[in-house]
Amino acid sequence: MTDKLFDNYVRDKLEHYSSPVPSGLWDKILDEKNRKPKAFWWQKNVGWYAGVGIIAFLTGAYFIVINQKENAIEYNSTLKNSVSINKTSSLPLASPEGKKDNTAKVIINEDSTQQAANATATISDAATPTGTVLSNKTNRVSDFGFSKNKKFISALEIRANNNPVAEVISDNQEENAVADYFTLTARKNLNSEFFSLNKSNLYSSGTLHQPPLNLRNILGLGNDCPNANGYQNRDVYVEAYLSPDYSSKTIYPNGTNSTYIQKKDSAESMRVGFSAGVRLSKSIGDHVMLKAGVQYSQINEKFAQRSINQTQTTTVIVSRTIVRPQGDTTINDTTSVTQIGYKITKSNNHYRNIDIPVSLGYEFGDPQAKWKIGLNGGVILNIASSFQGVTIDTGYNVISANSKGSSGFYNTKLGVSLFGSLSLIRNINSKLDVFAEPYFRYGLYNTNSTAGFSEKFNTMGVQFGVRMKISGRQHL
Amino acid sequence: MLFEQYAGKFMTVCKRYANDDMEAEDMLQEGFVRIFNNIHQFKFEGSFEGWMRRIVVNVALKSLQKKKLKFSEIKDNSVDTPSIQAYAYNHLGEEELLKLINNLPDGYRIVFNLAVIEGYSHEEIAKMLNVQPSTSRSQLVKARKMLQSQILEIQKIAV
Repeated sequence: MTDKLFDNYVRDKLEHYSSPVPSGLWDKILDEKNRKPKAFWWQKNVGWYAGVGIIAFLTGAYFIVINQKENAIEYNSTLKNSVSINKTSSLPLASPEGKKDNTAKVIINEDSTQQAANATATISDAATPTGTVLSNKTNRVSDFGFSKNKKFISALEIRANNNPVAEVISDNQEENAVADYFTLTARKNLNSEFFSLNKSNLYSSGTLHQPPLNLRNILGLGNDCPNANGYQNRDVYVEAYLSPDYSSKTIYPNGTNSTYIQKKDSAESMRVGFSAGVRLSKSIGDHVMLKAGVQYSQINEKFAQRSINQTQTTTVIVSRTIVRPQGDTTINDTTSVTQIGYKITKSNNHYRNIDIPVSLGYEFGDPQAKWKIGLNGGVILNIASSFQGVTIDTGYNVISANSKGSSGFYNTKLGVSLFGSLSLIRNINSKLDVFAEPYFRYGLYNTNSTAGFSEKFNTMGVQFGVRMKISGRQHL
Repeated sequence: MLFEQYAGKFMTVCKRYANDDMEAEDMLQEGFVRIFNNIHQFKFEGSFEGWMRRIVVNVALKSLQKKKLKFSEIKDNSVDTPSIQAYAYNHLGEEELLKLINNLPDGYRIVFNLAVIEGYSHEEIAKMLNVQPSTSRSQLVKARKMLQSQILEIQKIAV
C-alpha cells in the first residue's frame, strides 16, 4: 500500500468518526462559558479602564482649572491697568544720590473703573536682606511666595539705585485694585530712574522663585519656596483600608513533567480575595508621603479535580427470614457492589499572607485641595504566609496541603513584591480624608520550590480607606 | 443541538492530539467554549463544521504548545518497513487506530494529524508549529513509518 493510500485510509477512518463524549461535559461547558475568564480578565474590561481613565482625567482637569482660577494672573485686566508715575509731583524727594529719607507716591490708575490706588513706598537704607509688604486691606504680612487672592497687578518692581532693601507699604482703599505684594530688587547700575514698572513682570508674580507661567502651581509646586517663618509640612496620618483583590498565578515546572503542571493548572482557578491593613503616612514636604504599615491579604482559589476510574465498593446486606417449624431463622446475605466511575473533588484553597508595605507617594496639587491624586510605589515585604486547602501530587492524587502539616508548601516567607498604585483622595475635613487606590502587586518570588513546582502570584485590587491626621498643622 | 451533533466528532479530533482522555476532554470543553463565544464571527464562508473544527484543532495545538512541544528525532534502526497488505487493515477498528496514533511521539502525532487528516500543507504546519517545513516533512515520514510498523505488529499478533 502506498503512502497516499495509507493516508487516505486513515483519513477516511477517522475524519468523521465519533467518539463517546463523557457525560456531564455539557454542564461543564455551560459553567465555563458563564464563568468570568480566570486570567487577565482585566484586559477585557475596557469599560472599567475607560471609566477609571475618565475619572482620573476629569480630576486632573479639575485641579488644573481650580489652580488656574486661583493663581493665574488675569492678563487682560492687568494690561488695562496703566501705571503712571509722576516723578515731579509724586516723587519729589527722589534723587540719584539716594537721600536717606525718600518717600515716593506711586499712583496706579485702572482704566476700566477709573479707580485709583495709592501706594506709598518708603525706601530706606537699611541693610536687611529681605523686604516686607504690608497691606492695609488684608491687614496681614505676606511673604514673597505666590499670592492667590488678588486680581491684578501682580508685581511692582521698585528699583533703587543705592538702596538694596526697601520696605513697601500698600495703602489701598479700593477692593480688587491693588497688588498685595511687590517684588523688590535693587540694581546699582540705574542712575536716572528710581522707580519703574517692569511691564513684563505684570504677567508673573514672584519672579524671585517662580517661572512666568503658573506651571509650578498646576503641578502643585507653587508653594515650594521656603516660607518666611521656615515652615515645613510635618503631617502624620494613620490610614486604614480594605481591598477586594484578584490574583493571577503562574506555575513553573520544577523538575516535574509538564502534564502534571497542566493538570494542576486546569484543576485550580483563582477567585476574588481581599486585603486589609493599616499604615502610617508621614509628609515630607507638601507633596511627598512616606508610608509603612502592616496588612493581611488572602488569595482565594477554587480547586476542582475530576478523577477517572474511581472505584466505590458498597456493601449491601439483605436480610431474609426462613420460616421453619423449629422457628424462623433470619439470614443476612452480604454482598458487595463495586462501581467504577469518576469523582470530582472540590475545595476552596486559601493562601494567607501578613505583609509590611513600605511605599513612597507623591500627591499632586494643592495640599489643601478637596481632591488630590497621588502616585505611590514601593515594596511589600512578606513576614508570614500559610496555605490551607488541597492540591494534586505528582501521582495526580488529591492531597491536603495545609502548610502546618506539610512543610515546604507555601509556609516560608515569600520575599519581596513590588507595589504601585494611583490614589484618589477626597478631603472631608481638616482631620479626615477618604481615598480609593487602585494598585498592582508584582511578586518577585517563586513559592513551593520543594514541592516539584513553583508558583508566582501577581495581584491587583482597589484599596478603599480612610486617612486620619494624628499630628501636624491644621488645614485652614 | 450543536453540541450533540458535533461533540462526538470533535472528541475524536481531541483524542488524536491529546495524550490521554482527560486532556482530550479539557480540549473539547475549551474548544466548545470558544466556539460559543465566537460564533458571531462566523462569516458563512465555507463549511461551518470546518470552521468549528479549526477552532478545536487550534485549541488542541495551543494546549500542547503550553507543554513546550519538542520535535525529537527517534532512532530508527529498522530496515524499511515491509509493505502492509490491504487486508491487514480489515480488522483494525477506529479506536485501535486512535490508540496507535496516540502512541506516536508528540511531534510525530501532531504533524501526522495536521497533514494527513486535517489536510494542511507542510508550509502551513511549519507556520502553525513554528518549525521548518523540512522538519514537518521528516516528522510525517517517520510518523507514517512508525504507525505502519505498529499496524504490522498487530497483524503479526493477530496471525
